[in-house]
Amino acid sequence: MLMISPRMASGMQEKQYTPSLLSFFIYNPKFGPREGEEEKKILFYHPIEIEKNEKIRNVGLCEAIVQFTRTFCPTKPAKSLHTQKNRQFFHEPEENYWMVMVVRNPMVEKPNKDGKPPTVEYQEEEIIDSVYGSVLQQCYSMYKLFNGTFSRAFEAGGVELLTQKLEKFFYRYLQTLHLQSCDLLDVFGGISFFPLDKMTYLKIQSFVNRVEESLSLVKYTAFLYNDQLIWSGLEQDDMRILYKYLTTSLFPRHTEPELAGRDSPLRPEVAGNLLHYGRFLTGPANLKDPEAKFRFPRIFVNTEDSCEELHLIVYKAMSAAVCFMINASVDLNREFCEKLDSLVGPQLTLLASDICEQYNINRRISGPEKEPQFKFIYFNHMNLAEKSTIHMRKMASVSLTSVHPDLMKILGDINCDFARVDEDEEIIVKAMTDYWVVGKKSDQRELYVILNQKNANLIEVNEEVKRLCATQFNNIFFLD
Amino acid sequence: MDHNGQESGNMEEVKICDPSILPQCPDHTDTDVPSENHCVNEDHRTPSDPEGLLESADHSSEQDVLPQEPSTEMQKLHVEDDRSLCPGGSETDSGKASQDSALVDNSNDDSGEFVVTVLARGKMEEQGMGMKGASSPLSETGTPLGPPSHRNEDVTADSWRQHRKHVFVLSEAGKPIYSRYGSEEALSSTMGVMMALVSFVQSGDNIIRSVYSDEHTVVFMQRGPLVLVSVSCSRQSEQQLRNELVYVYNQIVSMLTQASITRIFEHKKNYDLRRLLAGSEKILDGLLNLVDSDPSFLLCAVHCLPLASSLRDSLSQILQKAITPNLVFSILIAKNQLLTIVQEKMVIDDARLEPADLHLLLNLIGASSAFQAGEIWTPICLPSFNPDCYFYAYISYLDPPECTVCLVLLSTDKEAFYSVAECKRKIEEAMQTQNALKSIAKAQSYSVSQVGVSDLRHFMYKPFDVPDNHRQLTQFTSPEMEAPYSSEEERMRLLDLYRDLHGRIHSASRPLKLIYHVAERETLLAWVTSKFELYTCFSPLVTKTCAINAITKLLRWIKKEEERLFIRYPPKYSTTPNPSRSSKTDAH
Amino acid sequence: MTLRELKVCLLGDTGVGKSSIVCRFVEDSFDPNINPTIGASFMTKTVQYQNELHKFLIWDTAGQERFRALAPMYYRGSAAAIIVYDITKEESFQTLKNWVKELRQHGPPNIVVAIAGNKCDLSDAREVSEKDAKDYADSIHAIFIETSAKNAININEVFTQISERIPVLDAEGGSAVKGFKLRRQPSVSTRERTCC
Repeated sequence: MLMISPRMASGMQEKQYTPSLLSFFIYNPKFGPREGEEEKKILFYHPIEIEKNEKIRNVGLCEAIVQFTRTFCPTKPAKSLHTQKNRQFFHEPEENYWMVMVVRNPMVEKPNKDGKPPTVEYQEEEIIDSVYGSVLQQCYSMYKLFNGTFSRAFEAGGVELLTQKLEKFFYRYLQTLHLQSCDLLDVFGGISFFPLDKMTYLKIQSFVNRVEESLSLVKYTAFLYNDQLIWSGLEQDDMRILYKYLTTSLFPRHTEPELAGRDSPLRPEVAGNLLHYGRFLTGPANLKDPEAKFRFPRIFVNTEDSCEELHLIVYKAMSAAVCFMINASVDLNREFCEKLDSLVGPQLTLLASDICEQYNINRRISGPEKEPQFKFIYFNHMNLAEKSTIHMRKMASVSLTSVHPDLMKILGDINCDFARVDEDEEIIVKAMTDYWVVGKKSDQRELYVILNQKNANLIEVNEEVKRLCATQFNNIFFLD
Repeated sequence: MDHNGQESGNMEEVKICDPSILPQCPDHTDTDVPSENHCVNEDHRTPSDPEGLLESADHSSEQDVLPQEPSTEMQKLHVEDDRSLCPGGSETDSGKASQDSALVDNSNDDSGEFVVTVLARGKMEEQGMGMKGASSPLSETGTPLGPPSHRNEDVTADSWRQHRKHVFVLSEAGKPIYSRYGSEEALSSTMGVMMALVSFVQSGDNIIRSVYSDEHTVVFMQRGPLVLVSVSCSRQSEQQLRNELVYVYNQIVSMLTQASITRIFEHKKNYDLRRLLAGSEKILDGLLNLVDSDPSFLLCAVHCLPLASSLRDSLSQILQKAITPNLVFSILIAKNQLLTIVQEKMVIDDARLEPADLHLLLNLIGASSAFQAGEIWTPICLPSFNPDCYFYAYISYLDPPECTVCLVLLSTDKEAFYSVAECKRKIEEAMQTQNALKSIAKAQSYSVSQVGVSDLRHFMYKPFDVPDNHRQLTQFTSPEMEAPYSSEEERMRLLDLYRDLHGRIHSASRPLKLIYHVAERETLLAWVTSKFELYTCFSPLVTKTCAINAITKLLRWIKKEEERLFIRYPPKYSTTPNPSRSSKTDAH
Repeated sequence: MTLRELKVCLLGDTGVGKSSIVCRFVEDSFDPNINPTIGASFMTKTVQYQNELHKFLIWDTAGQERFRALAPMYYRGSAAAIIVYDITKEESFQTLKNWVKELRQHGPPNIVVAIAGNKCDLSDAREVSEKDAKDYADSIHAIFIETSAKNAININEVFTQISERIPVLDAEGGSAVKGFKLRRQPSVSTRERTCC
């Protein structure tokens, strides 16, 4: 991705390049232990055009680095390699299966006079390890969600099946990695919860119970509104990655028909006497279509112990979306889908408008939103709850933030400092641009505030954050 | 020949000598005297390049440090029996040398790929990068004394892995030069891997910087023909670890000069530098211990012993009066801290003694008890001043047998021992009349309680604007570490906290102006302004208002004590009767 | 009684015990954990020899290779050189031979050479036989003596034998040995020597 920097060097333009994915590969050293068989270790390599020996060399380097760090601590091998031009991230999600992501450092290209090739300056300190390390781990979690573990594929169909699966999945998935806009939120991998009053929450719960009762095949249910989670029957870690998939991949792909509005003639789901707006986001696009396929994506949950394979049905009405997960051994057919549609569609439509109404009331009560003096990110490690007023709506392509990237990196630094100790801590820093950044960690919760009050002093900043905590977080943070 | 060179070199001029102490090979020397290559630079302040040194040397002596071969072809032929580097000069030595080179040539063949394959097969130990079977000159030369215990450490033991910070130095050929823990022999394959990693990444037109694991940070740094590696679980920033490696490199340079190191490896890629560093492991060990425990290195500033300004002034005057031609620095040290430093006028005008050089000097003196016997005369290079030239240091303790007050006189004249020794006698006499030793003995560091701020536990203050002569020497002041930082562990913990703050506030890409950190056991504040840099440590429950007030008080106190805490007006002397302006013109 | 200043330098491999010999001679003490000398250490001791006072100006040089090229600075103008080897290290005896060679080529003419086989208390680990060393010393007309700085064996004797070999004062003209005054610029001797 290319951005033109506003800086101009004596009339000539400097080009600023953001971090980008150089390569991504997965190998297992046990698959080609003998000399001359090195290629067998490589299970997946992107980009595919790379020459075979080059691949072998790059994998060899990773092996060497990992082996080398084991000299000093056998149980904690290398996580990343920093070089002038790039950073490599290592992740061993399953024994002997290594995933490596190579990210090119951001760089500035400065044109030279006299027709000399431009000088390239790598910005080696811009990438934060914890952020990209998390991105790599996410890659695995996402693969696992749709394919199960690496060893499962290997056991089922040997290296051949495994490499097939890897290629099929990562070929698409890597294109959705937007390395230039990764930040602290990738470290948290949190879930945004929809704030709701008790009454509405109970309504949703009873809706879920009713559906699960009527459709006994449904094993797990998750309920989201406005891309925010309200209810989930899944384990936290499974929900976390499913949530990531829904909000960054599935939902964004289906925004357009939504925007078309309820009176759109394109909406064929007006069935019988009851008008509803429900539709499948996975599976059949149009139930009326005689050619409709009733195949749903499969997902794998609880991979640590029982490893369940499930159909993922995502059904949406207006801004409300429900995920129904059904054991994969069950054959889902037209009959079932029609039943689900007629049962869930009308109820969900109603529920969606209820939530919307309630939400608007609450907004009115809390008063008109004025531009606050601060922006913040909150994360709770216990329930993975995440809240950011820094990020605009997360899109499939880029996550837009409203603050300077350098400030976001300072948040990342503070987060790394917090990660070092378990105790409660508070860090307040003043950046060179005179912005104040406050980080607070208290009992598994982390709060980061960016204050745009350049002339404030430490004590005023402290007061400001206190006020924020009092209004937004009900005094969760007790530190002075 | 030599004395001709010396005459034309003008004895009165401040000379910087070239690295002429590299070993000579008697067998190769036809002239009667080994080189005396003073680098008679027209401008003594600008470091001359090694090539320049060689050239100028050619005129004054037939025999250079290393024999100059007429052509490169000749040079090649001579490389293997070039015994000028091996004064042992025995046949076995040179025989071994060529053997070595054969071995290394093998491993040099795409060593990157080699190591990768080897590692993949998990047979690293057996292969040992083709070096395991290689000679181990250290054991041949024999360490003079029973080697320090940590050199005998079992490098496969957990205790070895658990060291806070390992440091390795190796040559480009992968030959071990130094390891902080464990013997170089035992670690030769590990170091071979390090070199392989460096050269592998290099072969991809890239540079390896560091490797991170959950436990360790491994930092690689290449300086000329040397590769330095730090493996640390101290959680220091990469930049800090890199700076520490620069100190290690510079300490090596201070013993050999950069020019010699370059030349040695130009002549023989697989030269075993431990031959020349034999006996100096302790100096590097000492340096690394200091680097871990003394914040001077972190702050790149000198900590001087607090002293009544009247006493410091009179000491300076004593040094100022005891001079001799070519004397350039007179340094008085007590309890390993600086008392005063006096510089030659011409030197002080344009150049200054960098704190880094002074740290190396202080470490050299502190690391070896060898200085406590008699008067020492030794060449020493101050790498920040000029990495390619030697000063000659006269080092002598003034208070034997306690040996706490040390005098260091630096001359540019190799032959000046007797006249410099005479300066020491003058200084000794003058100090005796003033009873200075007794006053120095009373001088000590101060307690933070003197500042009178109850919540303040400790601080480090580094001013940027010591008036007038601040360019002379960057200094900082800091009280003793007292309870709760009295134990070794706690002291290290506080230093680590300071290092964290320092790393963040001076981050290369995201520097900060202020950090306020409330942690479980203390509250810390770091603050960098255009005038000073300050690190403070408070009790954990201090309020922000209290902390701000405390800092105001502290700054006021420092201002008041300035005269005592810092060397404020460093004096100068002139040892060149005709200041170098004339010598500059003379030289042409 | 006349006072003669005799410049003596100690040469030899690293770790053979040069500093220990000097330390035993000057201070009559021994430190088993002595640090390697850096550069060279200068010490003096005056002893009576017959009707003269001999003030030994002792240059204890570092044995490490990197200081090797400094040696001429110390042996230049010396009345005597004590070359030390370690009787338990054959290699140090080889180094000694190189020192003899170097002194012969570049040292002052008529310099008194004393060969000291140090660490004779460790005869169990002996690698250099006394006879071989003695034969070699005789072949080059050097003083030979086995010493132990640790057990104070033959240390003073080395210096006494040097005193014995120093030509009497009136032979100054033909000898490089002379008691030069401390204040004299050492470079003077440099110049004299390099003229040869």
